[in-house]
Amino acid sequence: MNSQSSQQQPNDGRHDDDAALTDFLASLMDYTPTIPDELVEHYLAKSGFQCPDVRLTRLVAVATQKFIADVATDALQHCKARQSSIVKDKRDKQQKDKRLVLTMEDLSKALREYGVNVKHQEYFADSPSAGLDSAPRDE
Amino acid sequence: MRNSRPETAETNPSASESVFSYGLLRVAVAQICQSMGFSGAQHMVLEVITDIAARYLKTIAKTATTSANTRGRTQSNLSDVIVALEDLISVQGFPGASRVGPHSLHASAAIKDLMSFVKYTDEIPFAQPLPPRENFNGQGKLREQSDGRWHRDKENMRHVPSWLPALPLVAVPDEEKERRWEEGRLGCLNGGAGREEDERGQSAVKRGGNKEIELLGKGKRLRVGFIVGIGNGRAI
Repeated sequence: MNSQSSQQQPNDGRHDDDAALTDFLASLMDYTPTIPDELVEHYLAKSGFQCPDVRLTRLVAVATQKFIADVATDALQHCKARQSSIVKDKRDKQQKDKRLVLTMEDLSKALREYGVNVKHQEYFADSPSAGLDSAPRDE
Repeated sequence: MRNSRPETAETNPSASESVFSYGLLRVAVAQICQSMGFSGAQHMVLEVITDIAARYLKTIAKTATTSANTRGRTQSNLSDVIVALEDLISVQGFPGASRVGPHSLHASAAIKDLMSFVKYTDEIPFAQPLPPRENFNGQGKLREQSDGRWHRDKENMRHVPSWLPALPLVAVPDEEKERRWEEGRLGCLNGGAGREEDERGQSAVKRGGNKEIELLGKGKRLRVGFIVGIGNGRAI
């Protein structure tokens, strides 16, 4: 009796998961991802992905959209954290809140959690000794 | 975008196509970032994140294709895509990643995350209208030549890949060709010592007398006839 019930439960669980997946794939046809289907198909075809099913193309597009959205969310949080640490009077803070710009710093911090190492040169100098001489030249 | 090197895009058509798709992807990624709350981005940063999005797409495709190929399939299915997604998401970690032993792919948390994302996030339609693209599914589409003789019939030729040259139209026999064919057969009859018959068993020619030709069966029908017999081998 016990073994029968325990055997039935995983089957029901799998059936529920499959049913949920089928519903999800059907609902994907209603949801239009931001990345257009033709563009996704172009990149998939370039890498050798063959599938006649449109729903899988949409699934990949949605997965990429979710990834970029997660990265953008993390970068936004870094940006806001950086702004709140700079303590200024209230008027300046409100002005800065309206304009959040995605910078290289925030992006590299956000991407590090996803395993992508992005390093960005802060400036390029003309020669190795540029900016090092602090003493005045004409004396 | 890359105004410093216009000759590369012009001379190499694949380079211009990748530049075009890169530009489209950049618009889509910028829209996603904007929907998250960013009002702007640095130029270099947008390029970096677009490149990462393109690599992500390609990595999903490559991993899914590899998993399908190692299992003896040429076309990827849902399980292959889930394997690819789990592989990529394992860097951040997801519930159930530490499970050792066989587990159902369809129940993995990678897909469940996606489901909740689709459920709770509004749609962001793509900003620019896309030009209509040709479908390269191998459905037998081929442009008609100028004289209109070579073409591919779309309904009948779906099994033929589109990169093969078109089969010629089977010409409807004119009166001339019909007459020549009959004359050729008669020539064989009169000159040779053998008898011949049509491959389909229709002996359409009355023997004896080269002036009377009687066509049994339906006249003016498209047919390909083979003459088997001991004749003088005169070509038709």
